[in-house]
Amino acid sequence: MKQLVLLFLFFPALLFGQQLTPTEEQQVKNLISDKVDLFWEGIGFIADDENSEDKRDSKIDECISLFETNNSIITEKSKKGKETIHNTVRDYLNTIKNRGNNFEVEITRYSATFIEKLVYSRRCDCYSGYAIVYQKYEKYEKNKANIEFNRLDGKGKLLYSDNTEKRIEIKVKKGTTFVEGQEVKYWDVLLGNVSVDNVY
Amino acid sequence: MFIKMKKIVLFLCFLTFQVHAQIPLSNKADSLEFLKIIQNRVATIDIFIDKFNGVFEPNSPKTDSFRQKCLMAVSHSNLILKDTAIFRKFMLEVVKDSLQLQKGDSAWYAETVVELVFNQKKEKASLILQYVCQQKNSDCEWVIKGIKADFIEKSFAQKKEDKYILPNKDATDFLILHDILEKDKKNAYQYMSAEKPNVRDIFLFGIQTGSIKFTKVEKVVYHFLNLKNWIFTVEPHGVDAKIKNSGYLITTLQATDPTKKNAYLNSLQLW
Repeated sequence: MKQLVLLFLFFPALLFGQQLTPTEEQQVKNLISDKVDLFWEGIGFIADDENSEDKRDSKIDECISLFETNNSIITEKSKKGKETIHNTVRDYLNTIKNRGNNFEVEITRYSATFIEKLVYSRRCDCYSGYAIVYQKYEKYEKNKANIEFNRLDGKGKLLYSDNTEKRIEIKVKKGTTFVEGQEVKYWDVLLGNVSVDNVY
Repeated sequence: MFIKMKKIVLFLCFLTFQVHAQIPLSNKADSLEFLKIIQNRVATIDIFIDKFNGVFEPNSPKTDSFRQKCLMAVSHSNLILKDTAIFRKFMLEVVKDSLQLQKGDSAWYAETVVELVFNQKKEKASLILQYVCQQKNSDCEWVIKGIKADFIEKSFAQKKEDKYILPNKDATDFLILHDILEKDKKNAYQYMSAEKPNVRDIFLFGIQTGSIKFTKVEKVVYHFLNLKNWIFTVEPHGVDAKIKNSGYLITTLQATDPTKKNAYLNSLQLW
């Protein structure tokens, strides 16, 4: 009888153990949003050549630590969509860093961050999904004369601009740790491969 | 005249249709123009399926007209305007029979056009992936189910004469196997079968030995064979001044029957 009662008690847990409760899902989505924010702040910092080289290098390392592996790939489609470029995250961030000092870069992130539903996979014992971020990239000529006389907004001549959609793979794992002898459960959120597509 | 009128009416419907926002946008949006564009963007294949089924919002209306609008929102304008008759037939049938797509029903495939390096030359191939679920709609994963690689078929269609194990090798207890499997590893597959080469085996063999190197995914096309009388493909599209919708859209559409469906499946070269 006792066994039967236990079975009935645990049966729903076995059945729905893989599904996140709405509270858990919200908690995880907030964490994902924070991680994505950190990555974007990192990109902005790396692109800004007013920051010292050392600081930008350490920011690159910080950004890479947000990813599941060092080999995560960023795929970029060219503006006309004809060419696809594959880079590791480090190469991608280094490219942003080394874009030169002759122009000013402005990266605006639109406030639409859309996190797709998380799906449980038994293979990795984790939840996977993706976040979508929309970003505007603008490159201005760095010319004092322009800044002082030609433009009221303090920007030089616009050399290039694009709007991109970045889709980032997300992996969420449940972990436990001990803090002062007490077991604490936490969610580990890691970023995966990223695909970048021009939207217009 | 009637067809022209129909096209104009469809076009007007298409222009005036405002897709309900599937992306939660905050009020701090920087550019309203940009946000208008992404509201109409079918950003992922999950959103495509939800929109196709007319259930992408919690309170989506259950009316036929809403379903029709949803189908127009997930279709490329070229398809709507150029193949109007077939699109209209498709739309009416889907709405009338309340046809739905299920992500987990395994009757749809992703064809990834990939770039490979073989013999120091860039080559193109297509890997066909299938969405396979252990249980209904749960515990799912993409599985490689087929490959189309013309360069493999061309390169290995004819064996070189010296790649045969000669008829008198039995006299020395096939000692040549040592040479084949240890020294000439890269060409070992050529000794394995006297028949037409098996593309899958050669591809896997090439990947394992490093003679074929994977470079990148160039393009993805989804083939949907879920509906009884229809086959359609979905491809991601960028935003263009000519089209209102963007993202994952129905690009080609064809009416089908079981024979045609089998022929289509064969063309995917599944193993």
